[in-house]
Formats: sequence, structure tokens, C-alpha cells
Amino acid sequence: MAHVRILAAGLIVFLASCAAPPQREPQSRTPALPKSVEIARPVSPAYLRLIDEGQALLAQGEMAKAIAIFERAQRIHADDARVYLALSKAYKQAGDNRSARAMAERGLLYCQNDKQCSELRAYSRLSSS
Amino acid sequence: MIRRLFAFLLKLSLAVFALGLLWVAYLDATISSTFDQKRYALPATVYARSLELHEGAAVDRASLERELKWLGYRPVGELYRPGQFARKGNALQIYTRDFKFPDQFYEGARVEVRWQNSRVSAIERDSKSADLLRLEPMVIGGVYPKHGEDRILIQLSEVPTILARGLLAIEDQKFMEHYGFSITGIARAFLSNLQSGRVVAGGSTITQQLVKNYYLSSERTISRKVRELIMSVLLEFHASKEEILEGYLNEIYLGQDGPRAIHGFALGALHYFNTPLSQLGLHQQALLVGMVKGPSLYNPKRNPERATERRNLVLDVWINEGLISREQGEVSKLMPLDLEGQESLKQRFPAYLDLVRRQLRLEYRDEDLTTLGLRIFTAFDPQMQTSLQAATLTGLKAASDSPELESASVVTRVDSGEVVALTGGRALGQAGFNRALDARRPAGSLFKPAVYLAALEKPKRFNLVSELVDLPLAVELPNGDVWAPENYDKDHRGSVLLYRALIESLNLPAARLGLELGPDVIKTMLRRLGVTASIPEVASLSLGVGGYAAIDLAAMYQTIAAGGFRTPLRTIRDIVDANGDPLRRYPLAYDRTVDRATMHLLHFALLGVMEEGTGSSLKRLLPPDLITAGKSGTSNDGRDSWFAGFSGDLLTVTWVGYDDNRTSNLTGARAAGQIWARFMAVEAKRPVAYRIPERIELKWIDSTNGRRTGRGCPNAIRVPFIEGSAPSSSTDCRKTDNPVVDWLQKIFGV
Repeated sequence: MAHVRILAAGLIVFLASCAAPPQREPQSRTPALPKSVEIARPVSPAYLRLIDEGQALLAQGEMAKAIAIFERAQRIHADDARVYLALSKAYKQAGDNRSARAMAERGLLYCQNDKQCSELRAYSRLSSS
Repeated sequence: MIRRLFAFLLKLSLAVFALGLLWVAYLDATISSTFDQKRYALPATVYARSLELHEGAAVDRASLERELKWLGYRPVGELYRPGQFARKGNALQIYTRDFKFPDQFYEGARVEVRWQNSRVSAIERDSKSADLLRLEPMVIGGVYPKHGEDRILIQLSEVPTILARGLLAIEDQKFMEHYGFSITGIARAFLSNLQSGRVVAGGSTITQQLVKNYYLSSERTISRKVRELIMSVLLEFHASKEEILEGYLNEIYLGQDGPRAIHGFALGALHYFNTPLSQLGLHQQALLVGMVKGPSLYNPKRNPERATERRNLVLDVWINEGLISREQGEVSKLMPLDLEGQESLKQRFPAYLDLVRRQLRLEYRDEDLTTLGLRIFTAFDPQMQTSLQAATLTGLKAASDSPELESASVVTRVDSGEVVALTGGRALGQAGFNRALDARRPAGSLFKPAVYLAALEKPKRFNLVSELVDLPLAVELPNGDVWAPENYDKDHRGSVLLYRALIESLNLPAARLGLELGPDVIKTMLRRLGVTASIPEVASLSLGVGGYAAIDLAAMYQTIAAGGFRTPLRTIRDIVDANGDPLRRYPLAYDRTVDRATMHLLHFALLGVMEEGTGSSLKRLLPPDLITAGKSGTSNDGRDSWFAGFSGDLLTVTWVGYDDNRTSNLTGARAAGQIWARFMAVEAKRPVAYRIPERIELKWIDSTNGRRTGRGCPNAIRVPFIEGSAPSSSTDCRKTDNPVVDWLQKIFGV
């Protein structure tokens, strides 16, 4: 009987994944959950260019200018994780681990794939300098 | 005897001469030590944010046109100079102006913007594709010294040649030849004064006028006139003709704008025409030059006919002097006064400027702010401010007929903590009591999220479906009084799930929970959320006792909206000096003070407030796809109506009440919520949306009893929990919404 149960459980899992299309959510007093951000959205070319410009400045050691330009990018797409990662890297380079960590943590609210999330997670674990 | 008298007179003459020399030396020292400084005593200028357009920007054409009109751009058929725009089908062509931003010099160019579905779809700059358009920011005010003088400093080379030469033709034809005064001018003035029997003419040269404005009073006495003459000659020795003319062009008084005195031609051009001096038409230049004689008498706003007559007289002189052709002059005389339109917005945001000044005064001395010519770049968004003002008026009207009902709102960007708009009362354009900063009122239910957050931080004891006691409560206070709060509906339910207690804003469960946790814990949580005002550590703290301004509660809800990241509320982005060199930046800064997962639980309840709680009546005012979270608040007897809520991009906190603290009997949603929702409906663009934090697990819960249940079971709702904190007790229902799976479950009892 135990075998049958295991088989049945497997079948349930299988059917649950491919059977009839899901029905409408039951009408109960249900608060909404925040909308997921995991679907990739198009971003403006200006946003990506500003991040590139900031990164070039960072490479030249112009931390303050890079941070200012990343903040301009953040005003264009405040809900895109790339700019928080860029800011996090800039602050780390400037030796301000506390800010680097805060930026990365904030970015975790908006990361859209495992690579992005794990990179931000790494920065979010920086120890305070 | 005669010899002795002669000797005495000689000594006396020598003494008078020596004294006179000393006096002249003193006047000379005054001029040489102060002339340069005097020319550069400039008030700080405060700018709004710069509008940056990019592909996909949610700025429609009407909004862009409005912004351009505010900036003084003129609609034309074809562009021919900076400061103009032209409609071309679905596109807008703009000839932008140069502007020195704190981070770059942005050169003006011919730009074309196109739209698709109310979003910017393409930008061209000088016929080449561009990804960004940066418009110069609007000047929204300044920090003026007590005497109220304001000016924009310019160099002689920036002044249109006709204006400079035309000014000399009217005010001082021999300027390039004389040494500070003109004998013929004085003789002419003396004659006309003699004829009229009183002082009617001054006969002053430009140098004399400058000396008078810089160093002397306006009294008309002989001694003042002598001093003016001597100082004018001295000034001619110390400064070149160009420096004197430049000083005059910057110094001259051209009218009054409330308490602010308009000085200099550059500011005059902006004040009267909302156009930079370099771009004024001949007719406008002539009007400004004409106004020098009597800024009040020839004020084109108050006396348009007299101003037109004076302008045309100036143009006639210019024609006769050969400065302009007869044709140019006659065309200019036919032109209207061309004053700035109704669209101008300057000086109409006293409440926001008040906040900027307060933030500036934390770091700068008044003297620096009024003399160094600092340029302050803020996050102020004129479009949002206009929407907030409109929402304030319509919202107040929807709430009550009373013209005395007051309001204050603060709007911030969730992702940066920048204050973008602010109202301090219903009299929107007038300075006065700034309720957003200074009206300290009980926070009412707006403090409840702090209570629940403090509880949810203890996942072993509390989760969103913990049962809370909803029964009457009486607490004896140290002074012997009894505190016995009640629910708004005066009812009590015995027990209630935690999230429902917050959604329905029940007082009894919140008060009990606050007591259980302790007022000290609630106070600490409020501090972590960013409330800096004085907080009394008393039993009723969980129901908002104390005095808090809208700005205090905006700081608190900013941390909540941002997911537990405390961000200082900022108005200023950059400060640069008079040369445009950066002095100070106010960077983006976050400090995570509440765990993201715990804050997510609170968001669940605050989203519920809008779905089915005290904020649900506002949903009809909002776009259907805009997910928002919020909290209403009402203090005792409806004296204060609060609403605090956020979308993904904006947070707005609104207060409504009477200045004399009388009862309005309006709830948070019925008064403050009316303003809040009307504003958010227009300006909020992003729903509350973010990746669900780690350590959160979603479970199906029976909303009637808080037990675990199956998807599709009666009263099933999906609730977030901190990992391992979901209740273990469950209902019997195992429904999964999938008929095949249900059938198999039934057979095998899995």
C-alpha cells in the first residue's frame, strides 16, 4: 500500500503540473501580493549608457563622478537591479562597505535572474569597513 | 592784527583742507575696498529638477509643452533661435538652451521628440538619434537677504550690444567721455529745479547713479550730492568704463515682486518676459531700458499703456541716434509688450522652498546663502507639485464644504527619499504657516504599522494570522486617569487575526499588542523607521499619541515603502558656487533598519488596506492596474484625518484638519484619502512590485480561523510567512483546484 501511496503522490505532482488549466482564484477576502518583478522588462538605452559611462569613470578612479552618474541612471529606472549593483561596486571601490552593502540589499528587491541576485547577495554580505 | 587774522584763516583753511583730504581718502578707501565685493553679493538661486526625457519615458506631449512654457519657451511655426518649440504632427521640435549642470555643460540644440502611446518613442538631436534630452531646470526661488534684493549676475559681454548702447543713449550720452559727472547735465538739472522751485531732476551720470545705489541713501540733500560727485570721480579712477557699466547693468532696480526686489537687466528679463536677456527682442530691450527712469511708474504689468508709450519713446531715440534702423524701430513699436504668460510658475511654491531653506540653514550661514550666488539644485518636480495642488483643492472640496478645512501633503520618491512636492495649506501660492512642517498633530492609526512590525519581528510569537484579543481595555495611568480606547465602530469581536486587525484599523487589538510589547519597543521601532520628533513613551503610543507633522510621518512611511531602508528625506541634490563649480552633493543613502522579509509581511497587510480595508473606497479613484499600499489615520473625535500610502514609485502622506483643532468628523479615507488618491491616480506610474525576499514562504490559510488549508478551499487566502513561522494547525480541506488531483487525493487519502 505504501508503494501505491508514493506512486499516487508522484502522479498527483505530475498531474498538478500538466493537467487542466488553473481555475480562477477563489473569491475570498484576499489582499494582493506585490506584483512580481521577475519578468524582464525593456530598459531605456539612456539608462544603459549612463551605467556604462559610470563604469568607465569608475575604471579611471573617478568614484564621486561615477556615483553621481549612476544616480542619474537610478532616476530613470529605479526598479532595475543593475544600477544598484553598479552603485554597490562604486562604494566598495571607494572603501565604503556599509553603503556598498546597503545598495546591494536594496538591489535584491529588483534582481531578475540568479546571476544578478547572487552577485548582489555577495555584495550584501560585505563586512563593514 | 591783520597778520594774525590772516595766519588764523590760513591755518583754518589748511585744517579744513586736511580734513577734506582725509574725508576723500576715506571715501576712496570705501570704494576701493568694496566695489568688487559689492558687485558679487548674490542671493542663492534654487532650481527644480531638470526634466530628462528618454525613450520610454512616461511624459506625454502636453506635459512637455507645459514644462517648456514654464521655462519661457515660445511656441512658433519654425524654430530660429533657442527658447522656442514647434508642433510638427505627432512630434515636438525644440530649440533648447545651453545650461551648465553640476556634472556637465549641456549645449542647446535643435531637438525633435516623438511619441507612441503617450510615451516618448524617439529623440533626435541635430537630426541624429539621441537617447536623452536634458532640459534646463526651472528657477523656483532664491534665498534673499532681508532687504530682499535679487539679481542674476551677468558680464558685459553677455549683454546685447543694442541694449548696452541704447541704455547709454537714454541715460548718459556722454558716458564714455566724462570723469564721473557731467557739468552740462548738472546745469540742466539745476535750471529745471530752479524753474519748478523744488528738486525734480538729478542730472546724474550712470557713474553717479551707481555710486548712489551702492553707497548712498536716496535722500536729496546738497551734502549727499557732493559726496556722490566725489565718489563718482574716485570710482572713475578705480574702475574702467566697462566695469562701471557692467556694475550698473547688474545693480539697477527694475521693480518689485512681493518682498523681492528685482535688480539688474538679467533678472529683469526673466521677471518680465521669462526669457534670458540674450534672447530679448528689440521691443523688450527698449521696455527694460525705459523702465530705468521709473520702475513703478512704467511697470508694464500694472501700467501697460504708460509702459508702451515710454518704450516707444526709447525706440524713437534709438532710431534718431542711428542705433537701429527706422524699419526695425517702427516694427518694434507695433509689437505687443510680450510679457511673460500666465504659465509662469516662479515664486509659487513657498512651502517647498521653506523646506529647502531649512535644510540649507543646517549647513550654511544666512550670509553665505544671500551673498555667494550659490546655485541649489533640488528634486522639486513642478509637474507633480501642480498635480498635488489640484488634488488638494478637489479633494478638500469632495471632503467638505468648509473653506476653513486645511491640508498638508508631502510626496517623496520611494527609491531615493527625495521630496518632490509639498503643500503646506490650502492657500497654495502664499507663504505662511507651513502645516507640512509645523502643524504637529496626533498620528492616530498611522502609528499602528510600527506596532505590528515590532510584533512581526518576533516570528516565533507572531505571524500575520496570529489571533489577537479584540475586547475592551482599561489601563490606569500614573496620574490616576483611566485610558479606555474603543474601536471606531464601538464594537468588539472577541478575537481577530493580526493582519485583519491592521486592515480594519481596529484600536483594541493594536492597543493590547502595544502594551504587551511595551511602549519602549514601539518607540524604538518608530525611531528605526525614521521618526525624529519627540515621542512620548506612554500606553497610548500605539494609537498615535503625541504631535507629528506630515514630514515626520513621511519619513516613517518612506522607510516602510522602501522595504525597510531608512533614507533621509532630501530636497537638495547638488550645490554649486557662482562659477558653477560643485561645492556639495547629497548622495543617495540607504540604511536598512528593518529586515526586508518582516517588512514584506507588513506590506501584505497594507496592500490589504487598499483592497478591502479602510482604504478600499479609494480604489475607484485609482487606475485598476496600480497596486498601492496604504494606511488611514483618524485622531480622537475626527480632529485629524491622515492618509499615508505608496505605489512602487511614490509615497504620499496627507493630513486634513482645522487649525483650531476642532472636530471635523472626517475619517482618514474620507478627507485626506480624497487628496491622496486623486494625486496618486495622476502621478504614480509603477505598482508596488519587487522580488519577494528570501526567507518568505507563501501558505494557503483559512481567513476565518488562521489555519492552514488547501488552495481552492473555502476562505483560502495565500499569506506570506517568515520561514518556519506558519501555523501548524490545519483545516480538513485539501482541495487543490485540480479535479484530477482532488479525485486521487480522495481515493488514496494523500
